[in-house]
Amino acid sequence: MTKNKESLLLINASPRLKGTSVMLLHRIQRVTGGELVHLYQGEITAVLEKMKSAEKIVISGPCYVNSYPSRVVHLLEEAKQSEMGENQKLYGVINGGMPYVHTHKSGIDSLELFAEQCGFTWMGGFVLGGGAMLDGRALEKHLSSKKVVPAFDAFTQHILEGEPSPDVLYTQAQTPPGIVMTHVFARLLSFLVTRKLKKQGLHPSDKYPCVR
Amino acid sequence: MIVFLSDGREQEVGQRLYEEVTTRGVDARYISLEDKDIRPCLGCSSCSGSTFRRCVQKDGMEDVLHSVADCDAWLIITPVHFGGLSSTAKCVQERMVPLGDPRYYVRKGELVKGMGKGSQAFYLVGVKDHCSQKEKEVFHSLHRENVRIMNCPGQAFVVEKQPEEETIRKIVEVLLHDEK
Repeated sequence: MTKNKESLLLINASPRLKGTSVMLLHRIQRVTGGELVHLYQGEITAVLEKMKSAEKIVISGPCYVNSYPSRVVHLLEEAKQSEMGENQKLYGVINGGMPYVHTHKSGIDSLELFAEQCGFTWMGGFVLGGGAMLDGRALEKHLSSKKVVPAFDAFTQHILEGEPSPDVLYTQAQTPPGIVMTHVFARLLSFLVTRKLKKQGLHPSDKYPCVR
Repeated sequence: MIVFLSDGREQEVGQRLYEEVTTRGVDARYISLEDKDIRPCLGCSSCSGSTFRRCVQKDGMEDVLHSVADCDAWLIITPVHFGGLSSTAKCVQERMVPLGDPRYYVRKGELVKGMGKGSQAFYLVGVKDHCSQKEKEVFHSLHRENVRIMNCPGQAFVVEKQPEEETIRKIVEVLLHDEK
């Protein structure tokens, strides 16, 4: 196995600087090295400049309404207008709260389309369901950590070697909770949010704009 | 009422759909997103907790939220960017969280959330010339996930920048048929 010497840029596409998106990038960085930048700190142009000179790029972000946050779309729109993509490899990571791959997959599909339209070489992505509840804690705390940890570490190895990473890596590592657990989750999460609102004298079914 | 949220930077389809709907005497409102100062969601979760149904950011989004809160159906009309919404349209969609039901439900064996009224339909109209089949599929699948998680009805369409009158009429007929 030869060590891949390509320069690597890790982009944290989350407004949170200590959340799950950046935790996953740190996990990659421990193996691959490379520079980590925060998309939500400073101007987008600074990130664009760094993108231009990187041979490998990893974008890791949260899933907002089934895809990457709008600031990522903005970054991609700007990147499309600048000269980049040739001989550059792109990987994507997206994590969301719902414990399903399909809920968050559009983000990765969108990144692949961007790569195709801008001449980047698409290298594959990693969709992590049930990621929000980690809230920045180690991947070992994930509900399906036994399968997810080795899968994500294999994904990291692909980045290190500059190889493509297949979708089966993350699809096979995640099994949705069974029907009983699903009902337990729904009840529990709804109970918690309702209790929190009741303490403020409010109820989840209160209509917008809901003034106290 | 039907609310049209349109990023009109690259398309006039939103305006044409709105005009077709009002010609038929249906109550509607057109909001051009490109003229509004709407900042990105900070992901702070405040609107589903400590400041329930209120966003901590005070900007052009307040007007949009007021309209969508009271509507029967809402549409986002956007240029198709990488199989999804433009950053302007996506930014607005992400800021809709204060209207949502913060509780979880089980539908078809999976966890879902819901929009306040539950029955408000959500339509997505993507505009792009020569859009590849692959990009259209990503766009449609994005909308499928949107209505799945919001637990609401709705449809997605991908049209050319200068669609035939027939195309505009067909979309409007779907909107009005569903509203009944």
